[in-house]
Amino acid sequence: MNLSGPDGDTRARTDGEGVEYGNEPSDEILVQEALAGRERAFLELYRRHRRYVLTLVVRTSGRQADAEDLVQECFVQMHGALGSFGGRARFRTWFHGIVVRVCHSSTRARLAQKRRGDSDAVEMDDILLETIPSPEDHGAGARELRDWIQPCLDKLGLSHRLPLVLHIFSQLDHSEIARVLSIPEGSVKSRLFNARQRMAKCLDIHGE
Amino acid sequence: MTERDWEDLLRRKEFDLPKERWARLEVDLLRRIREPVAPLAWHQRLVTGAIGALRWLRPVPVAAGLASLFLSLGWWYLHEHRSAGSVAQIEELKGWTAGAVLHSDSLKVMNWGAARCTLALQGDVRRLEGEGGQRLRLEKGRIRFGVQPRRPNEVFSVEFGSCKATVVGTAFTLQVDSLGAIASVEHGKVRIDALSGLSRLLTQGQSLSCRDLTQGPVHKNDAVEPIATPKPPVPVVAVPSSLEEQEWERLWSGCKQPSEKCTESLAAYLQSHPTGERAGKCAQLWADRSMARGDYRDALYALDLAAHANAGELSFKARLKACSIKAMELNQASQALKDLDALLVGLPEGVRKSAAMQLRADLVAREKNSGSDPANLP
Repeated sequence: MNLSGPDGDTRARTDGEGVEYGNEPSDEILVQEALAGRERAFLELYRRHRRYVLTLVVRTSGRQADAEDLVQECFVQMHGALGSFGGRARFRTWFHGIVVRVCHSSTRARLAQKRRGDSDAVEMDDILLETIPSPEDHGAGARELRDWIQPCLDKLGLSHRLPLVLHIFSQLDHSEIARVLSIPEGSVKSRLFNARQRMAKCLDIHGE
Repeated sequence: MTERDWEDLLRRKEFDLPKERWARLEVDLLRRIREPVAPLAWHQRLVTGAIGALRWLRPVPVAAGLASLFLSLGWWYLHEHRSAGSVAQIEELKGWTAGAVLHSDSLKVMNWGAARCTLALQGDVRRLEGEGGQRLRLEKGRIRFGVQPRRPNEVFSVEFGSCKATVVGTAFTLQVDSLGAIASVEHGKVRIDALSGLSRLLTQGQSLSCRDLTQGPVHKNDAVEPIATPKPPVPVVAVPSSLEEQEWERLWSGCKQPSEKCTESLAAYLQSHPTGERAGKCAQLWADRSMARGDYRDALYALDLAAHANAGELSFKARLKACSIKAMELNQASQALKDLDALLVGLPEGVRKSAAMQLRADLVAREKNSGSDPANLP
């Protein structure tokens, strides 16, 4: 899993099992502690994953406007659902399920708003888009990502964008994506194949 | 830009917020999770529960499961629910209760278990009910049966005179008149059992008088006797030894693969040569094929032929195998044990006796494990 450590520190990244934060407790242990009522454990989970969740939310929903709200919603829902984490699935698979549900709900609400012609929502998009500073604005590839790749991603439907983002950005394997999205593994493979083809086609058009 | 490039960019680049903004969000998050959660109203709980149940049930597998359940129930109703001998199709047959005589000279169609039976009746048929389910008995006249399809373990038999005809194949005719009771087979095979315990298998084109079975040997290729133009039986011609060899070779080489024709050839050979090593081999092969088909009653019949073929070791093994089938496949453990005991009487000490004793011990242990009262075992 492409999860970073707390802000600004130099901790090692996890190996996907949520257990390699140097000598820090694993995600699963933090969940147990949070369940026991220790707020610090939950805050540690938040600090550990918030940047990753922010990026995942923006890539998935295609919007930066309400990304902060979505991140907060993801963590609030995770807090409410801590009791249902029985350890059968890995933490990251379980948490991705929550993030995907939140993004789904947000996308549906936004589409409904647009259908109703709610111009405020669209305007707010444009205002907030400029206010989120991002390291993408610096360094190699930042411009390509912002101007070419993200627009192509946005053009994909949610059913194709989600598996692609979970596979490439989150580095989940096919079976994990299938569990997160509650679809068969074969569907994950076919959607990934189609999404990659559409991305390649879209990027070629931009490159010409 | 290659595919590898854009995927790499997507993987590496992350969004971030200034620290003070994260700190503000953190405070907001703590405030939200500390807020007491208002209990859900009953209708909210109902909706939440329904959504949770739907998510848990997964509609597609549930729909598939329900569809398979209904299909299975339908299949069961069509094939199992009808009791053996249930009569359908014609009002007249519906009123044909046990013990009553059906007098008719027309074509009837009735269901017998899974089989559809066509009766071309010219006479009286009585419907009997007793041990072993429902049976038919031809009192007088002539009746032609067409029985198909027949399930492997389903027995269709009709009593006539002092004999009983059991369908192994498909179509046969029975006749009872002042001259006696005669069975003629048009297709497939029919086993004729006399009340005295003797039995013979008739194949296509053969006919047999019940009196012949009870009083004397059966002749091969007795002519089929149509009612209108009865023909005299054709006498059996003794087959020369060399021809016998050729017949055996032809039969054995033609029976490499299981087929209806092969079974008929085996049955015909057994009728003309009921004893000897070859008869034992034929009957054994027939039994093996029947067991492979799951037709254990047919297999029992073939094993009975093998047992009476005086084929030495083969006959002994056939008797053991018959006991085993009765116990394991036909739930007749008590009968199997009685047969075994009869077999053991007078059997000298040796390999055969050990094998029989071993089988008996296995059957007794199996019966005990299945919960039968040991006191009821012979």
